[in-house]
Parts: sequence; structure tokens; C-alpha cells
Amino acid sequence: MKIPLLTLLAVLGGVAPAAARDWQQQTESQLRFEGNQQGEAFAGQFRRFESRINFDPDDLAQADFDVRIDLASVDTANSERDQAVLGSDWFDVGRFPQAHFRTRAFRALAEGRFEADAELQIRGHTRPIKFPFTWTDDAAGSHLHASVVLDRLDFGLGSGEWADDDLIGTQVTVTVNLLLRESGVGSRESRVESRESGVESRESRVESRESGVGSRESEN
Amino acid sequence: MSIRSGPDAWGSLAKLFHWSIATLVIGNLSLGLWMVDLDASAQKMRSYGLHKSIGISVLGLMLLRLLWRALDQRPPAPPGMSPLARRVSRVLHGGFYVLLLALPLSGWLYNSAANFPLRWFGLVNLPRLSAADPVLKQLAQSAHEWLAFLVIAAVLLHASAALKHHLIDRDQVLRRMLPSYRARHRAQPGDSP
Repeated sequence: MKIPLLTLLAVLGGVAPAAARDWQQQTESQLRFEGNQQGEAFAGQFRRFESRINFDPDDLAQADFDVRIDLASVDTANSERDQAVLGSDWFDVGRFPQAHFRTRAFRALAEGRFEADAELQIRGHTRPIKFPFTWTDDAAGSHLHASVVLDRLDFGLGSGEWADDDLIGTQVTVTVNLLLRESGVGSRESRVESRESGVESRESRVESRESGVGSRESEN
Repeated sequence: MSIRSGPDAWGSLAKLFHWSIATLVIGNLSLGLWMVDLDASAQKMRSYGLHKSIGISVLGLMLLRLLWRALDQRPPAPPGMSPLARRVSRVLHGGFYVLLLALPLSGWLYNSAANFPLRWFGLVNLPRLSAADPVLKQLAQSAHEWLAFLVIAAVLLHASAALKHHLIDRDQVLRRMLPSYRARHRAQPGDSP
């Protein structure tokens, strides 16, 4: 019985690791937002954020997202605005350098569509949010896409004289586009391989796109 | 008082352009010099919004004024003016028109390159003259500042010249631009020194 069991584990192991599937955020991943200033939409993004994604579409009970956003990496293509938003009226990065997003529970909505109950903490305010997202796979990896509308006043961003919706819109649309590649024992091995011998590693990359291509990109 | 200018006095429309633009420009120069030193605040953002709205209004009024200037006649220079003084006057007035177009345009360009919105009195958002561009932003900012100081110099020169006409030459040059002035009689060759 020993040998068949090991064989079975080895086969299953490559497809569905028992506990959970960890994913590595690739450099192409983007965390963007759209705000409104004096009646005109403006686009921004956070250039530095780190996500721990544990997700298996077939095992939502184990799923878990934990994302930390470095607020000082905000970029709205306007140096004055980028500077102002770090100040005490807004993100107040001196006291609250990071925003923190983490999920509590997941449910499937439709094929490739899910929703998480999550908590978002900005500026010391923690608010529950619904986080609907799509999860799709293609040759590049897995894509997590989500778009959520937040009210900045829920997080104490720009209260007092800034509360006026006409000057700075209170609704902010946050768009998440993550490119993820699965990380695991297999990929770590193939990374070692790929450093040692060129031809073999290229073969292993073709065989296992998640680990092979991922090992190359994640070193960037 | 006629809408059109006559040989002795400016028409009401020319006066309206002159005094409304003068008021807006002097007000906006003061606002601009004051607001730049404000700390980042909603008040600062509103002040900039007002400054931009006034500037865009000046640009629009200047374009209408140039159009009207092409259709209207101009009262001639007083007979006492030397040919040199006339030439200087013509060049300075031409420069004034150029400055009053360039000042709001440079502000608009600065605003566009800095990637700020431009909403005219909360009513309508205007298009951008350029994409976000840090180098162009610096250039346009410098241009806007220098043009503002040139306009201040031009206003002082213009007002001094008007007072000189009134107090020293004792001609009708200043009076005929005053809102209350009406041509009472045709200028006679001997009226002005």
C-alpha cells in the first residue's frame, strides 16, 4: 500500500497541494484608483504594495488575501497633489504609513467570479468591505481583477474643510489587477535548476508554466 | 453714449472691455501674489480655482476685445503728440495686448502640464493644453511668473502715461476713456497744447 499512496500523493501534489495554493504577485500587478477633483476625474496608483494571496477556486474555505499598501508610493502624475495627500489631512503617512486589506470569508458567485468579505484599514479606520473579483487563468498566469467604490470619508480621509464633495469627490474607485503565479516547492526547485543548466530549465519551464516562467519574472 | 467709438471718445463697448479687463487683471494679480504663499488647504484650492476662472475670463474677453477692435474705429491720438510718442504708444499698446493674452495662456499651460483640473467658476471643465509634463510645467510656471511681473510693469506704465496726458499735456486721452465721459464737442486743433 505504501508505494501506490506515495504515487497518488505525487500526482495530486502537482495539481492541488493539500492545504492551500500560494500565489506570488508579479511586477505587472497594478493597484489603481480614480478620484475626482473640481469636477474632473484623475487617475492614480500605488507603486508599492505587497500581497499574500492564498487561493484555490475549489477550496474557498482555505482562501486568504492579505495586502499591505505603502501609501507613500502614491502617484497621481501631479507632484503637488501627491505631496498633499501624504499630509495630516489625508493619509497622514507619518502616523499611518500603510493601508492593510485582509479577507475574512469567500463565496463563489459564478464561474470565475467570487466575493470576499474583507476589512480595509486606512489611517487607523477599519471598515468592512465587500470585495467582488474575477479569477482567470491564461498563459501569463492567473489574473485577479476587482473594482471597488470606496467613500474616503469612511476612512477619515480629508474631513473638515476637505469634506466638500464638490472640491474633492468623496467616492473613489479602486481597481485591482494582479498577475499571479503559483509559488511552491516545485517552482523553487525549478528555479535552482534553471540557474544551473540552461537547456533543461527551459524544458521544465515549458512543462510547468506557472513555476518556470514565474521563477524568471519574480526575480526582477 | 454710442456703442461704437467716435473721433472724440471711446464707445461704450470699448470702455466696457477696457475697465472690466483692468479690474479683473489687477484683482487677479493681487489674488495670485497672495495665494501662492498659502499653506495647502481647501481655501488654497478654492483660491486657485477662482484665480484660474478669472484668468480664463480675461482670455475670453481679450479675444472678444480684439475682434471688436478690428470692427470699431479708434479715436486718433491728440494733435499735440510727437511722432515718436505716437510710435511708443502704439508699440506699448500692442505689447499690452500680447501680454494679456500670453499671461492667461501660460497659466492654462502651467495648469495642464501640472495635471490639475481647470473648471470655470464651477460650471464647465476646460480641456488640457498638454499632458502631464514636469519639464513643461517648470517652463510654463516661470513664464507665467515673468509675464505677471511684465503685466504689472505695463499697468504702471500705462497708468503713468494716462496721468501724464491728463495732468501735464492736459489733453482728453484719459478723460475720453472714463465711463462718464461724453464727447461734448468735436476736438478743435487748438484744444490741446
